[in-house]
Amino acid sequence: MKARKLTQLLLMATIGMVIFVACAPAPAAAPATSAPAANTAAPAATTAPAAKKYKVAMVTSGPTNDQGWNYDALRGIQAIRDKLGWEMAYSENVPAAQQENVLRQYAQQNYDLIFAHGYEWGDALKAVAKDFPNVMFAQINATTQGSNIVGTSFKYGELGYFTGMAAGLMTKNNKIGVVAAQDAPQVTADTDTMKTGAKAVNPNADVNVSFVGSWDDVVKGGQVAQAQIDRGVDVLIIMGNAFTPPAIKLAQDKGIKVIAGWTIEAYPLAPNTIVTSGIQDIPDVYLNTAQQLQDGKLKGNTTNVFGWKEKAQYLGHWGDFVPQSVQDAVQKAEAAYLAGTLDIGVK
Amino acid sequence: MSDPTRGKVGAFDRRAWSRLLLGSVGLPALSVLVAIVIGAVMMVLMGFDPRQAYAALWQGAFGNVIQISETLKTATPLLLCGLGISFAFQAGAFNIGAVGQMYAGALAAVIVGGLFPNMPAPLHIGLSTLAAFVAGGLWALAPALLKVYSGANEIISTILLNYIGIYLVDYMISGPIKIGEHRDAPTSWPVADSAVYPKLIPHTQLHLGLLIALAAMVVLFVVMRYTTLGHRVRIVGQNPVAARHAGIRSDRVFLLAFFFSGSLAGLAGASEILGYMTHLISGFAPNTGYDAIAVALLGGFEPFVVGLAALFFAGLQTGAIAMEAVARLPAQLVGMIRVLAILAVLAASSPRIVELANRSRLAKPELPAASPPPPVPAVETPEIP
Repeated sequence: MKARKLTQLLLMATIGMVIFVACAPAPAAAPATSAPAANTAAPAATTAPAAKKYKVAMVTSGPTNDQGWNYDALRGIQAIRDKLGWEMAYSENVPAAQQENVLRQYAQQNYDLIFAHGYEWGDALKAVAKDFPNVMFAQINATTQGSNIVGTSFKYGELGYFTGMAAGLMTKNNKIGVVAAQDAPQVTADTDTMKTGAKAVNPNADVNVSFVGSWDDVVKGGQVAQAQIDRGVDVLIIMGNAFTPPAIKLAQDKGIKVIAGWTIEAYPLAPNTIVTSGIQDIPDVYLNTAQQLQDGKLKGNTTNVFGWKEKAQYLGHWGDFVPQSVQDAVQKAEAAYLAGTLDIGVK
Repeated sequence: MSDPTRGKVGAFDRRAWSRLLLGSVGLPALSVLVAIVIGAVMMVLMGFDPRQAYAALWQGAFGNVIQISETLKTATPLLLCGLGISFAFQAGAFNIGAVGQMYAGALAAVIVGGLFPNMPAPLHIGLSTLAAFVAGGLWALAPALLKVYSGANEIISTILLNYIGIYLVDYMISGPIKIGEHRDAPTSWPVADSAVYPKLIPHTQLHLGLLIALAAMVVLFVVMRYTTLGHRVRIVGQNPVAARHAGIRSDRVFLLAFFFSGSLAGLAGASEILGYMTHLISGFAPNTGYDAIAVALLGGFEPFVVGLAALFFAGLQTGAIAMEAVARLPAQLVGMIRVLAILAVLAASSPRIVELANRSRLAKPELPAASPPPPVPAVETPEIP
């Protein structure tokens, strides 16, 4: 008896599914839902040859709603869609074991440019890229080599000089503390120029650097910031990721002024505490890289460096309490650096 | 199917055959169908084309040699961990610690694989794999000893040891076995070329690990069916007291089963590292050991069925990537559809699991509070026909 009932059920389910699939209103624009075609005629794309519709894909190992590193990647391809009129797609939360798979999926669909967001994609990129010579791969903040792989990095040291300069002008007791993430070359490049920048405007300034050992360890970040505060500093430069906002709060409670870096505009967090923010603009790196590809200028086996000149690194909003004279002095130095008349010790 | 009536299978029994067919193929197939329909409804409601999405799912999972290799590569650690969990379950224990055991195995593999760079490849591969096997086994032995000698609940102690394993790996890769050159995140030293598993198909990531997993599957099947050890494990799992009265050293059998359970998970760790990752990073396989619990349950703790379940799981995982990348479904919807399919199969095969869990529970009267499944009357184990 039961078996017959089951067969009946199975039959009904099958029929149901057939009907369903047949009746599904096949939304014609299904593949394009995440890429509204409204921006195809974006005015920014003046140099674009009208014929070709470019496609960009992005893959990231974290969630794109993290309001930080991975969110910047999404903003990057959205900028490419909005400003250059490209079609875009992305995959988030990709586990390590699926990296090659996801890269290959996009490459097979002839995407023109595939961004891999972060150093952890290096091995998978090297393995997949050589099978798709007509697809360009770009890796953010990494230097992986390949004939169709381009790396990107920031011009480390620039932000350090100008934030250091701002700190040197703002300090009253000449004690400046730096809460840095890791004792790694791309971090120390900036902490080194911080000292030059501060000393250039304030020879008596003492810049003390301490490392958290991580970009995201909130507890340790707070402890290191507290240790600097206990030393009696009156200006803190905090350059991290997840630990930055809580460390800013800590300084705010003690009335200590903060220069924040490197990924977020920190002004809205504490307008009465933030002197300025040192910003590395990841979306700009994305946009710039796509523009280069469109102009036929993007070459593999290179690492493109983004800095002040490319408008990918800059200082953020100035705090309400910062004297105009300080802002003017720093902006004058920025102009001199861009004009080539000021050597800030960055090659 | 692990019931003691297996002796009758040889005899021609139409009822038994149809029951088997319906139970292990018909029902799961039906439930996947239902899951597909529900998934399609969800997609249509959200404005996506289910035909396109399912086509992408299939292409991503089994579309061509490369995709099949990806699926088999993903299935390998799931199968090894799933087999380990099944073996422990047969001995009456819930091993939730496959994550920690896998991490311990990976750690041992990368240490032995990274040292001795000039060893002949077969020897180096064998030695690194053996190290992972032993490390995983020892990692599992700790909670087993606690259980045998102090009665500590193995579910809790294995979960806790997962965290220790994860943090131990994090510590090791940022200190003692850290790579010499600068990396942006903590990374272990690489495995020497001589310890890397050979690829089974050129230009794919399919590696020797799959053969190791398949061999483990066959060995486990033979051990459980045709050896005294398997017989003892089953008796201990069903009734340790009766086993003791029958002259079996239950404790020793339990420890042994738990050791091998962990060493299979350790092999999974070795297979990931020596197979294609070649160095150890933080969080290299955060979910595999937990997914494998579902794989083992789905497979009813039977080696070959666990193999099918691992393949099913892995196919969904690689296919899900394609659903996202090709059919442009949002990651969240893809995740829901994936879990829906697993849930459907699990639901269809649950009577057998209830029966098994129930049996093991009744067999352990000294631990009534520790076993989560509620008492189910014997009537609840339905026979389909």
